[in-house]
Amino acid sequence: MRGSVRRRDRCARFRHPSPTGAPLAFRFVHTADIHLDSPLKSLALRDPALSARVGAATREAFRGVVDLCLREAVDALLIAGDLYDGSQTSMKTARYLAAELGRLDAAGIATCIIRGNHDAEARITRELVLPPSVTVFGAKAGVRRLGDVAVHGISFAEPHAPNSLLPRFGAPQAGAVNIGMMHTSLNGSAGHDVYAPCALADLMASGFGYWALGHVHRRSVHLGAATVVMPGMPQGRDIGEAGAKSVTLVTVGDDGRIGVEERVTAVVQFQRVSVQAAGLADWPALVRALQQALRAARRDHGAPDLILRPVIEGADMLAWRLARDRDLLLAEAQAEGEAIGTVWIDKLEVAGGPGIAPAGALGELAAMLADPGPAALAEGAEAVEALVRALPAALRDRFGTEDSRDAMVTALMAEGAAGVLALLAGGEGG
Amino acid sequence: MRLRRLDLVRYGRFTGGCLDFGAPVAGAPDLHVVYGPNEAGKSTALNAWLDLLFGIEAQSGYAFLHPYATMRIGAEVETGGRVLALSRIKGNKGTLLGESDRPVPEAVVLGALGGLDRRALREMFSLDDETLEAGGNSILDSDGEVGQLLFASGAGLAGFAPGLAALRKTPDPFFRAPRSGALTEMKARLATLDADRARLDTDARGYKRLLEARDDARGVLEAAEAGRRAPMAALAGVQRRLAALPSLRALEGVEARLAGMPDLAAPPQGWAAELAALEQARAAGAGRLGALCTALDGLRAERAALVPDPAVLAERGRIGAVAALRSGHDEAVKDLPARRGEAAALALRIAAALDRLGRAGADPAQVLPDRAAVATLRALIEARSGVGQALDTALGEVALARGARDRALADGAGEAGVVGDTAALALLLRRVQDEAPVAAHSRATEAVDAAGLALDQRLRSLLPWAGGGVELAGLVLPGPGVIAGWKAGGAQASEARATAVADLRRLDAGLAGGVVAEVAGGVTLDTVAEARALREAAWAAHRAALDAGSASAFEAAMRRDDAVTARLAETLAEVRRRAEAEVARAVLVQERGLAAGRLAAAEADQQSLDAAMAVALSACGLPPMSPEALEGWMALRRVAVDGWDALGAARKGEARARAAVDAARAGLAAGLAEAGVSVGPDEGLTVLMARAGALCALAAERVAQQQAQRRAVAEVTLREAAEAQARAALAEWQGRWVAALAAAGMAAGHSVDAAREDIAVLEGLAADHRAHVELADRVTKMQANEAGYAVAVGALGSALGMVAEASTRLADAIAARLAQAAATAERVDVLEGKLAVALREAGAQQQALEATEARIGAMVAGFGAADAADLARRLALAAARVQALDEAARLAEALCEALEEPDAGAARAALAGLDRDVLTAERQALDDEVTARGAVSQAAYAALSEAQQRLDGVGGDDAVLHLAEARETLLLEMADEAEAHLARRLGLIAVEHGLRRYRDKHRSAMLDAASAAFRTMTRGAYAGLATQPEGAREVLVALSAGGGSKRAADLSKGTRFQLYLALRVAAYHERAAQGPVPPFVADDIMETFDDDRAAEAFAVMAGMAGVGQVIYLTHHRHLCDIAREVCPQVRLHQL
Repeated sequence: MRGSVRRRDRCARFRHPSPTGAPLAFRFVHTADIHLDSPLKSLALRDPALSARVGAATREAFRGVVDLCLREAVDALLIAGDLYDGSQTSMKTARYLAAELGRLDAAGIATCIIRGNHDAEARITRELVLPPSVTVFGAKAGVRRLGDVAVHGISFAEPHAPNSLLPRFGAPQAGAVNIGMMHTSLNGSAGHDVYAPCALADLMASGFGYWALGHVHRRSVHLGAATVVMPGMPQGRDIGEAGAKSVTLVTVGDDGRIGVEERVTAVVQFQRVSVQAAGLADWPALVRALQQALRAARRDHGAPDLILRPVIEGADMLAWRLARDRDLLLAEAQAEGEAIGTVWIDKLEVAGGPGIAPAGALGELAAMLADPGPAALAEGAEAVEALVRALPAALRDRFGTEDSRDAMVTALMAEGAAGVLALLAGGEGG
Repeated sequence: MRLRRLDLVRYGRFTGGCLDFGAPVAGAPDLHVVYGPNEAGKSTALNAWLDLLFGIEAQSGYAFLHPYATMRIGAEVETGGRVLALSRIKGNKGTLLGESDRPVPEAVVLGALGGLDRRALREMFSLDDETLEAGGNSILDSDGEVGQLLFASGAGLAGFAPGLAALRKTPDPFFRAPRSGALTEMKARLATLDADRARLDTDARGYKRLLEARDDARGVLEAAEAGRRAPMAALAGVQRRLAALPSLRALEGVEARLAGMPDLAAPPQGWAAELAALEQARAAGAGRLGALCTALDGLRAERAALVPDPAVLAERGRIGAVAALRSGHDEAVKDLPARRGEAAALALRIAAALDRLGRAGADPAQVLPDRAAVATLRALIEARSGVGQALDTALGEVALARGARDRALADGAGEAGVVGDTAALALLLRRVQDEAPVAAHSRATEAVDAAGLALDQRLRSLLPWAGGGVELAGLVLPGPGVIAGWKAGGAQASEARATAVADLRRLDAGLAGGVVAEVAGGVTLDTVAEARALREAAWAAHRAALDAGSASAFEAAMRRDDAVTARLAETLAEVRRRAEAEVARAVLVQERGLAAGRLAAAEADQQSLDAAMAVALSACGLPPMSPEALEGWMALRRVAVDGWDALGAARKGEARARAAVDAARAGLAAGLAEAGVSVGPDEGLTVLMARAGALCALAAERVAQQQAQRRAVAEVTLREAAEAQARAALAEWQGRWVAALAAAGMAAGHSVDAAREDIAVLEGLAADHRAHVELADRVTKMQANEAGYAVAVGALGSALGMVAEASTRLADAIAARLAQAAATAERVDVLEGKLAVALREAGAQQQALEATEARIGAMVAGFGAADAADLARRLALAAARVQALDEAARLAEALCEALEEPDAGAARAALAGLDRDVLTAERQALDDEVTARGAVSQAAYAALSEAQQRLDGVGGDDAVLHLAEARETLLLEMADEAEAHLARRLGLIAVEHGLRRYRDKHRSAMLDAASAAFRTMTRGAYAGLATQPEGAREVLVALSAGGGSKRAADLSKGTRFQLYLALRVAAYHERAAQGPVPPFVADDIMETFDDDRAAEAFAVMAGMAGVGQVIYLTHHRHLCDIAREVCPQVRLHQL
C-alpha cells in the first residue's frame, strides 16, 4: 500500500519537474554478477530436500531483486554485468529474464544493463526482445537520460578487456547527476587484471556522481568525490562465494546527495564454520564443539537456509581418530543440521597438521610415510591415471594434467596414508 | 620384567621348593645358571614359570603329587619398578593372587609381557630343546617372509600386514575395473541428465530457428489470404445479384397490382375494424333483448300460481316445542310395561331378605347397617383364625420345650462326681502326641545299634591292628610328608637296585660272551720259519735246476709258505683280539664290582628304609608294610574313624530322645495329678498318655451335657412367654367382636359364621333396595311424559282449527301443513327477485342497441356511403391499396441494399439483362475457387500456430536449471568420491611401501644382530646370515667363512641350534630396544654344542643379561664351570 502511494508520488514528481526546476529524489537498485541460472555447487545438494528448497537460488534471488524494486518503487534497476554465466545457453534463462524485466516495465521502472566478461560469451539475449524500458548499452559508450539523471554505460565486447574502459566514457552531462556503469576488476583485485582494470582514484576524479560497478563478487563501497560501489552478487553459488549476499539501494537526493543502503537478497548462504579441536581428548567433546559451532552459525547468519562447511582446526589428540572417522563426524554434523532444520552441511574439512604422532613402531612408520618414495609415487600415479581415464571429461582436469599430477598424488597419498594407518592402528591416539 | 624368586609351593614333585634369584646387581649381567641333576625338577621349574604367567593348564601334568585343588606357584616379580608378590592357583578364574591372596587382574603380568602369549613366549624366550627347534623352524618357515612373526612381533606392528591385505581385498565401492562400481552408475545418471536436458532445452541457435520458422509461416499465411480475397469479392457480387433477382420480380408484381386499383381517399385509421365491430354488436344486442322478454313472461306466470298459509307459519314456534316432547312420549309408551314388571320382582326379593333377617315388613332402609360397622366385622372375622392359630402353636411349642427340658435334666442326673479342669492337660497331651518322643527314641536306639555294627565291621577291616574306636581315633600316624619320603626313598632305592641289577646282568652277559677262545690252528713262528726255509731251499734248488720237477717242488714250497703265513696272520689277529677282550673283560669285571656295590648300597638303603618304617609302624601298633599298603590302611582307618564318629553322634541322638521321653512323662504325670488323678511310678509314658486322653474326653462330655440343660431350660421360658402373648391377643379380639356386632345391629351372641352369613344377606338387600327405589322413580317420570305430550298436541290442533284425533297422528298432520306453507313462501321470494333483475337487464340492452345504431349511421353518412354494407366494401378497397404501396417501397429498398446501389433505378439498371442460370454457373465457379484458396490459407494458419506454439513452448521455467543443478551436484559427488577413492587407494599404496621399508630396516638390524651372535657362537666358522629369494619367498641362509651358503636344513644339528639361538638373541635385543623384556629362560639347550661353542653361547647370553634377565637351567656341572669362566659374575643356583 505504502509502495503504491509512493509510486504515484514519484511518477508525478519525475514527469513534472518542480516549479523551481531543481532535480527531485531519484532511487535505483544497483546489482551485478547475477549469474542467472548458474547452478549451486555443493555436496549438500545431494539432499533432495535442500535441492527442492534452493535448487533455483539464483532465480529466486533475482526475483527478490525485482520484488525489492517494486516494493521500494524505485525509478530504475542497474545491472552492472555478468547477468549470466558464459556457459549459460538455455533460452529458458533468457525468457525468464525477459519475464522478470517485464514486471519492472509494467510498473514503469527503467532497467539499464551492461554486459560483463561472462555476458560477452553468452548469446541467449540476442534472440530475445526485451521490454522497451530496458536499455542494454553497447561496446561504445552510451547515455540514457532518466529525468535529471544521466546513466552512462559501456559493455564488454569480448570476454577479456585488458585496458581500462574509463577513458572511453563520455564527459558527464551538465545539469544532471551522472551515473557510470562499468564491469571492472578495479585496482587491487589480484588475478582479475584482464577485466578492465581501472584506478579508484580515476573514478573519483571522473566527475560522475556514482559508479555502478560489477565483476568482483565481494561487496565494497568507496565514498569520496564519487560514490563507488561494487555491490557483490545477490546470491553466492559455492563455498568460494561465502557470506551474506546483497544488492545496493541508492537514493539520489533532491540536493544531489547520494545515499547507499545494502539489502540482503541471498536465499541461501554459504559459510565456513571454524570448530576448535585443540586440546579435545575425547570424541563426544569434539561432536559437542561441532554442534555448538553449527548452532552459533545459525544464530549469526540471517539467510533462510545456510550451507555450512565445518573446518576442524587444531585437532591434536583426536587427529588420528579424525583421519579414520571423518565420515562419522560428517554424519554427526548432518544430523545436527537436520535437527536445526535450515542448516545443511557442504562437507567437512580438517585443517592443520597431523596432530600428535603416536609413540613406538606406529610413530616410526608414520614418520617414514612422510616421504613415500619414488616407487610408491609411481604406483600412485598409475592408480590416478587409471581412475582419470574412467572419469567423465568434465572432471578430468580436477586431478591435474600428467605434468602437474605429482603434487596431487603426494598430497592425496599423505591424506590417505593417515587414514589407512588410523584404520590399521584401530583408533590409537584418540 | 624380572623374576626375583620362584616358589614351587605345591607343584609337581615340589612341596615348598624355591629358586631365589635375588635383586639385580648394578653393573653386573643378570645371568643365572641353575644346576640340578636329572629329575631335580628343571623342566618343572620352567613350566611353573609359564604357568605362573599364563595360568596352570587345564590338563596339567604336574598334579601327580598335589591335586589340582592344592596346586600353587608363588613368585616375586619386578615390573615397572615395583616388586610384586604373586601366586597362581589352579582354577577357572581369579587364579592370579596378590598380597593376602586377593585376586589381581591378569593384565598385571600380561601387560609386562608386551603382548606375548604363552605360545609366543615359549617359542621365543622360554626354550628347551624342543621349542628351540620347533620355534626356530617356524621362524624360518613363516609365511613368505623370513621371520615375519619374529620381526613383526618384535617391532610391535603385528597384525598390520593381514589388516592391510584385508583392506586391499575389500572391494572399492566407487571404482572397480572395468565397468562396475558407483562411478559407472553415476556416469549413467550423468548421461540421463544430459539426455533430459537435450530433450527439454532450447539454445539460442535453436530459438532463432524457431523464430524464423514462425515468421516464415506467417508470410505464407499472408500470401494465401491475399490470393483468396479477389475471388471471394467476386463471389459475393454474384451472390448478391442472384439474391436480388427474386426481389425485383416481386417488386414488379406489386407495381402491376397497384396500377389496377381505384384511387380512393384513405379512410380514417381504424374505421374498417370499428365498423365490423359495430355490426357484430348490433346483431348480438337484438338477440339478447328478445330472450329477456320471453323470460319475463314465464316468471310472471309462475308467481301468480302460488297460495301462501300464514296461520300455520305463525304457530311455527309452538309446533317446534311440541315436537321436542315427542321422543319422551314415545319412549314411555314403549318401556313402561317392562319397568313395572322389574319393580314388582325386586319388591318380592326385598321382602324375602327381610324375612331371612327376621325383620319381615320392616323398612329396608331402617334395617341396613352402616358400611363401617360391616367392614369392622369383616376384619375381625379375618383376624380370628390368625389369633386362634397363634395360640395353638404357642401351646404346642411350650409342651415340646418342657418335654425336652425334662429329658435333659434326667440325662445329667445319673452322673456322679465333678471332673476338674483338664484344659492344661489336654494341651500337654496334644504336644506330646505331636512330638511322639517314644517313636523318636526308638529310632535313635536303632541308629545307635546300626552305627555300632558298622564300626565293628570297619574295625575288623583294620586287622591285624586291634583296638576300639577310642584307640583308633587317638592313633598318631606318620604324616603325608613322611610317607612321601618313604615312597620316594623306596622308589629311589628300588630304581637304583633295578639299575644295578640290570647293569650286573648286562655285565655278566658281557663277561660270559667275552671268553677268549684258544687260538685255532696252532701256527707258531717256528712253523713259519720252517716253511720259509723250505721255500727258500726249493727256490735255490729250482734256480739251480730250472726244470719241471724243481718248479713243482718250488711251487709246493711256496704254497705251503703262503698258507703258513696266512695262518700266522690270522693267529696274530686273534691274539690281538684276545688281548683286547681281556682288557674289556677286566673293565667289565671292574664295572661289575661297582654295580654289585651299587646293588648292595641300594639294598642297604632299602633295608634301612624298611627298618625305619617298621619302627614307625610298630609305634602305631602296625606290622611292617609298604608305604602304599600303609596309605591303603590309612584310607580304611579314615573310614573307620568316620564310623566311630557316626556312632558317637548316634549315641548322642539316643540320649536326647530318651531325655525327651522322660520330660514328656514328667509333664503328663504332673498334669494328671493336677486333675486329681494319682499316678503310679511304674506307669510308662504311653499309659499316662492313655489315662490323660480318657480323662480329657470325660471332661469334654460333662461340659457338653451342662450346656444342653441350660439351653433346654431357657427354651421353656421363652415358649411360655409366647403362649401368654397369644392368649392376650385372643381376649382383645373377643372384646372388639362384641362391640362390632352391636354396631351392626346384630345379636350379641352371634357366632362368626352367623355374622358372616348375615353380612352376605345384608349386602344383597342393600343392592336390591337401591335398584327398586331407582326403578320406581323412572316409572313415575315416564307416565308424566306420556300425559303432557297428549295435552300439548291437542291444544295446538284446536288452535289451528284441525280435527281432533290421536295425538301422534294430529302432530304429524300439523307438521306436514307447516312444511307446505314454508316451501310456498320461499318460492315466492325467489321469483320476485328474478323478475326485478330481468327487468333491469332488458332496459340496459335497449339503450346499447340504440347507441350502436346511431354510430353506424354517423359513419355511413360521414364516408358518403349508401349504407353500412357499402361502407364496408369501400373501406376494404382503400386498405388493399395502402398495403401494396408499402410492399413496393420495401422491395425497392431491399433491392438497393442487396446490390449496394443508391436507388431503385440504379438497382434495376444493375440487374437489367442478367440471366439467373448464367449467374448461378458463375457463382459455382467462384465458390470452387474460394474453397480451394481457403484450404491453402487454413494449412498456412495451422503451420503458423504450430511454429508459435513451439516458440512459446521454450518458456521461462526452471526445468533445465534443475537438471543443471542435479548435474553439477552429481559431478561434485563424483569428484568427491573419486578423491576419497584415490586417497584410500594411494594411502594403501603408501602404507604398503612404507611397511615394507620399515620391515627392511628392522630386518636388517635384526639380521645383523643374529649374524653377529651366530658368528660368535660358531667361533667364526660362519661369517653370518643373509636372506635370499627362493621362488615367491625368501629364505635364510648361513654364510660359510670359506665362502658359499647353506640353508638351515643343511647345517649340522649343533650349528642349526646355534642358528636358532642366534635368532632368539637378536629378537631379544630388538625387543629390549623397544621396551622392557621378560626373562630369557632356557633349559639345557646346548646338549649338542661343543664346549667351545657353549662358552661362546654363554658369552652371548651374558650380553643378553645386560639388557634383561637370563636364566639357564642345566644338569651339566661342566657348563657351570664354563659359565663362570666366561662370565665371572654369573650367579649359580642349586635346585
